[in-house]
Amino acid sequence: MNCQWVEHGDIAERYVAGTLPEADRDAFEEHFFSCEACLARLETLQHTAALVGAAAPATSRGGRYWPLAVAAGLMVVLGVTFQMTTRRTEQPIQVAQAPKAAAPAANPWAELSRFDAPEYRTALVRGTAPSADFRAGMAAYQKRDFASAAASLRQAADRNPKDAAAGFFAGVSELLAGNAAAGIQRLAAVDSMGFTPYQEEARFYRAKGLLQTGDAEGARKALEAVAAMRGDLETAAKDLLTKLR
Amino acid sequence: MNASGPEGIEEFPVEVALRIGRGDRSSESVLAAHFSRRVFAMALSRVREEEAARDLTQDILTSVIVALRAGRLREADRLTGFVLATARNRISNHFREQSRRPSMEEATETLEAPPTVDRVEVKEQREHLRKALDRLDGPDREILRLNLIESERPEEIGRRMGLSTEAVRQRKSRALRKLFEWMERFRSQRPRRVY
Repeated sequence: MNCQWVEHGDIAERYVAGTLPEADRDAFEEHFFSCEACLARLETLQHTAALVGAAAPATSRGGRYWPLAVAAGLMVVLGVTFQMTTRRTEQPIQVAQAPKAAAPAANPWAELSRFDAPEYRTALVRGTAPSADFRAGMAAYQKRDFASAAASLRQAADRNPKDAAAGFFAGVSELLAGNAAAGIQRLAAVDSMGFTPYQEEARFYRAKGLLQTGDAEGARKALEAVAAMRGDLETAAKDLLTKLR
Repeated sequence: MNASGPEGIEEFPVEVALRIGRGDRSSESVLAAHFSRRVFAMALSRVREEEAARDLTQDILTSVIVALRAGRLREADRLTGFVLATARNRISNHFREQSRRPSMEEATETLEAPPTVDRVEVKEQREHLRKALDRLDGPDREILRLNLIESERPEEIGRRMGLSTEAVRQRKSRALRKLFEWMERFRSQRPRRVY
């Protein structure tokens, strides 16, 4: 790799966006380790990403650099909080309402955007105990009072931005309470934490939230990311993708 | 300090690595100052969280210095490759065993944490860059956001914003060129701090 290739191939931009194939990514790293000009170019792009990400409106879709904007960390995976297991329920419990901001009749994806509340089953506590806000939020969640759940879980997640569980259930509760933009934002933040027990589900339900807002293209991308994980939600994601096409 | 080659390629002088192996502690700071920006840029790209990237950078540089002290790098001319390999290994471990940080534990008794990227310098650069960003048109900033943050391709951005793919490419290219030039002037006027 050389500087011309970096410039004309948008290599540094794609490196920052995380869309470079692995071989090109490795080649670029070898290059900028020895090339001051391309390192400076990369740093400018990383600063730009941090600034435009931080300045994004609250309703914007979360992206790969969300952690820079919200100062949340991958450190959630340091295991200082508790681990919690969840599973998707087999029986319908509560159907997400259409978002307040969009009239259901005007959204062609309203039907596909509906979902059953993912079940909160058990908290296996390790390390610190769940916060009072989290416990109150999950109690409301289990009573299907999603507006109250969202209010408590929002506080739990804001107090500890590294708490993936609080972020995930806050996001889902927002969606179920009809606050699509807030739910999408929460779930994007959980996704951006990286590898957590909630990453796959956060992507899936974020796609649902995007469908609530009528953003089929955004939902499609999120679902493709779910399918690529080859996890529990792969089939559900592929089914939705088929329906979206 | 660096030997310049074609296209601005700068190879880190191998004698610095050799001096570290001979117990020269001052050379360790030279090595850390040279590689900290590179390792940080790489770590940030991989983990996408600044504090985690900062911690990883320190961890990686510590591992490299410990290895050089112990004479584990037999061919000093492969130093850059060695730093890269160490960085990739540590970043992989970060994702696999997030709570374990063996190299830092190994090094705490013998090595002060090496300097990582200067927060003040990063803040200064961002404040300066913000001025240039503020001068861009709103759509240009949105194109950069969609491209760098949302990882969208020009054709996707074009569909979203009602622009042709070519118009998106041109706007992005023009905006980035302004930012690069702006920051190049800034860097040339403000020599990088020496750690």
